[in-house]
Amino acid sequence: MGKYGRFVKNNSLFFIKLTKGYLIFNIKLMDKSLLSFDIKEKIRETKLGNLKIGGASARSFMRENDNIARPLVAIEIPYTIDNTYPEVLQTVWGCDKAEQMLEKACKSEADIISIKFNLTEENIDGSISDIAIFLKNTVSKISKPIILRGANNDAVDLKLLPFLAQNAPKQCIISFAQESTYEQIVPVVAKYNHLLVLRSPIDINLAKELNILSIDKGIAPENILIDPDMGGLGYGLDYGYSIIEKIRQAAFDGDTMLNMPIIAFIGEESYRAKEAKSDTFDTQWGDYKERAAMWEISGACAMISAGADIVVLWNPQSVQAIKSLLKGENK
Amino acid sequence: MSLTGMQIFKYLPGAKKAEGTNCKQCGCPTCMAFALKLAKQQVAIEKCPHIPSELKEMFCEASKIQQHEIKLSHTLVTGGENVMYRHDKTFVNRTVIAVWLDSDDKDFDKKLEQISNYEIERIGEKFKVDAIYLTGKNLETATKKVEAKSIAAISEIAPYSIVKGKDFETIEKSSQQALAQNKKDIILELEYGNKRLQDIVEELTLIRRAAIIKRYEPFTYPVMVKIPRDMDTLQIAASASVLLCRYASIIVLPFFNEAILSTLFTLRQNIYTNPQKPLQVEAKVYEFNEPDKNAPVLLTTNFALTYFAVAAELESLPFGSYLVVTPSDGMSVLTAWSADKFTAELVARSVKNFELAQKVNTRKIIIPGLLAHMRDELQEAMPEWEIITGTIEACQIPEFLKNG
Repeated sequence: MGKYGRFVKNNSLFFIKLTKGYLIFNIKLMDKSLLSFDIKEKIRETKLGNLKIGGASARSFMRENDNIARPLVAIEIPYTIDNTYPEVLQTVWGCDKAEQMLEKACKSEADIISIKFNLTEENIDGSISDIAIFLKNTVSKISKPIILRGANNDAVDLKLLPFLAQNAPKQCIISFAQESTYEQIVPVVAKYNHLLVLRSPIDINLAKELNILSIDKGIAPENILIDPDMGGLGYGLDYGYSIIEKIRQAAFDGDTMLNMPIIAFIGEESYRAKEAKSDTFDTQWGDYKERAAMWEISGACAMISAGADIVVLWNPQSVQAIKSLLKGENK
Repeated sequence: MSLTGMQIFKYLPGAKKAEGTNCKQCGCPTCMAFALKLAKQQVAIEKCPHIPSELKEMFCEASKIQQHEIKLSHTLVTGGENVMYRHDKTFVNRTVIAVWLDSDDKDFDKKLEQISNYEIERIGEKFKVDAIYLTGKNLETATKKVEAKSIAAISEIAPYSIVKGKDFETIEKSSQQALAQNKKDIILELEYGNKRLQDIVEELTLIRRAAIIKRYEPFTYPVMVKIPRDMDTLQIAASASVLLCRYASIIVLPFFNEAILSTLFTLRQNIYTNPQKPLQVEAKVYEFNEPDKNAPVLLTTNFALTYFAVAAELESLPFGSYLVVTPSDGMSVLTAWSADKFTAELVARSVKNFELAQKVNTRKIIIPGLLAHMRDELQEAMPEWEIITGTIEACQIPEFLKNG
C-alpha cells in the first residue's frame, strides 16, 4: 500500500490518498445490538443471609441486559484431615489441622465457607455427638455463609444430612441429595428452610427431573442449587462444561425447572487428579506447587466461563487468583 | 453452516414436479443430482435456469465463510470455527498457544532451545509450544531460527496481516481498511492494554458472534490476544484458561512456564474434544512390561481417559500385566454400563474373541471397582473365569495388585 498512497482517517469516512487523487469510501459500522443474544428469563435468584446467589440475566463476563453475572467463590475444608487430603494443600495452608485451616479460611476472601464431613459408614454413628459440639461451638461462630457437605456415600449422608439440617446454627447450603437419597433428605432440608444442592450425573434431563421430583417433596424452587457432577481438568471436564452451558441456555430460554443457580465442586474433582497432587511428574509438567494451584484454577475458570454461579475450591491460592480475576484486579 | 442437498432440492422444480423438472440444462441428469453437487459446491448455482431468488439468497448467505482458516506454518492453521458452543457440533482448530520472545534478547538462542525442547504427553497425544510471537529488530533472523525448530513464528513480517485494535469498533475499522486493500490473510489482534479480563471476553464474544452468526466479513478471521507481562503466574493461568474457553484463537503467553503450558494443553484437550466422538482406544488385549503367562489380567472399557489412567499405573509396576479393553463406543465405565455398552454378554464375547484363555494361564479377571454390582452377572456369563472386583480409582491399582 505504501507505494500507492496512505490512509487518511476522518470519523467514519476513510480516504485512501492515492499518488494521484483520492479513493473515498464510506465505512458502515455494524450495529452491535444485532449481536445481543436472546435472554428471555433471568436465572432464579436465591438469598443466603445477605449473599445473593444467581439472579443474572447475562452470561459470565458479559454485560447483557444492563446486567453482569457475579459468580461466587467458596473455599472447602474437610471436617478432619485424613490421608486422602493432598499434602500439597497442607503446605499451602501452612498447617495440618482442620480447625486451623477453617480459621484461616474464614479470614480469606472467599464468599462462602464449605465444610466437608468426610465420615465413613464405620465412624458416622460414633461421630454424631462430636459433630453436634462442632456445630454449636465452631460453625455458629462463622460469620460467612456456609455449605455443609456430606460424605458422598448414601448410607452416611442419609444419617448425616438430616442431622446437619436440623442442627445447623443458621440457614446454610446442605449438599447434596441425589436420585437415591432425595426422598429422605429433601423434606428435612425443606422443613428447616436451608438451601439444597441436587446432584445429577452430567445429564440435563436428569437434572430437570430431580428438580421436579424434589419440588414435589416440598422444597421451594428458589432453595435449589444444581450440581451437574462434573469432572475435573483432564478427567472429563468437557462433559460437565457442556452440560452447564446447556442448562444455562435452557434457563435463559425460560425453562423454570432448570433456572436455578449452578454449583461446581471443582476443588474436590481437581485434587482427584494425579497432576494436581503428585510430584512424580517430569519437570516438563512444571513446578509442582504451581501446577497444583493452576489445575484447580483452570478448571474453575472453565466452569465459570460455562456459567457456574458458585465454584467450590480447595486451594487458598486459587481463591485469591479467581477472586482478583472476577473483581478485575488483575487488569 | 452450509445448506444440505435436501434443503436445496426442496426449491428446485424437481421437488414440485414443476415445469423444468430434470431439464438437464445444468449438465446434471436430475434436479436431485444438481442439488447434491451444489451442496458440495461442485457446480455453480447459475447453471440452473430455474433457481428461485429465495434459494439464491439463502445459498449466498450460507456460502459466506464464518471464520477463515489462516496458515501459521506448513502444519499449523488457526480459525475455521463454525459454532458458538462446542455442544452445537464441535470446535475445530485448537487454540494456538504461543510464547512471546524478543528477537533482540541476548539469551534468545537459549530461550528458544528451552521452548523447543518442551514436550508433554497426555492421553496418547504429544503437546509442544505451537508458536513464538516475535518482537524486536532481528525479526528475519529470529523467524528463521524459530522455523528451523518446526515452530510457527508470528510477527509483523509474517506473510499474513495482523490487524490490531483496542476494541470491537477499532478492529472493525482496521479490518475494513485491510479488506479494502485487498488483503486476504488476516489475523485480528485484540489489544489487552489496561482492560479487565471481563472486558476482553466481552469484546471477543461479540467478535465471535459477528463472525459465526452474522458472517460479518471484517470479523471472520482468527483473533489473537497477548497476555500482559505484569500478571503473576497464577493470574496468567486463570486469564488464559478463560480466553481459551471464550474465543481467543491465538493466546500469547508473556514468558515460558511449564506449569502454565501443561495446564493449558490439558484444558485445550478437554474443550476441543469432539463431543459427538469421545476419545477412544482400540478394543483389544494390551500388554505391559512383557507379561508372562501368569501375569494378572485387568479389564476396562475403551474410553481413552480410562485406558490411559489404568495404563499409566500398570506401566509403573515392577511386573507385567494384561489389560483387556472392551468395545464400548469410547464410554467411561459407568456410562457404558448404563448405556448397555458394557454387558456381561458383551464382555464374555470380547474375552472369547480376544482368545484370552490361550494367551494366559491365569483364570482370574479383575474388573473395575465401579462395576462391583456386575460381578455375579459376569461370573455367570463366564464360568471358566474367576471374576474379582478391583479398585474404584486407577491410582489404587498398584497397591491392590501388590497385595495379591
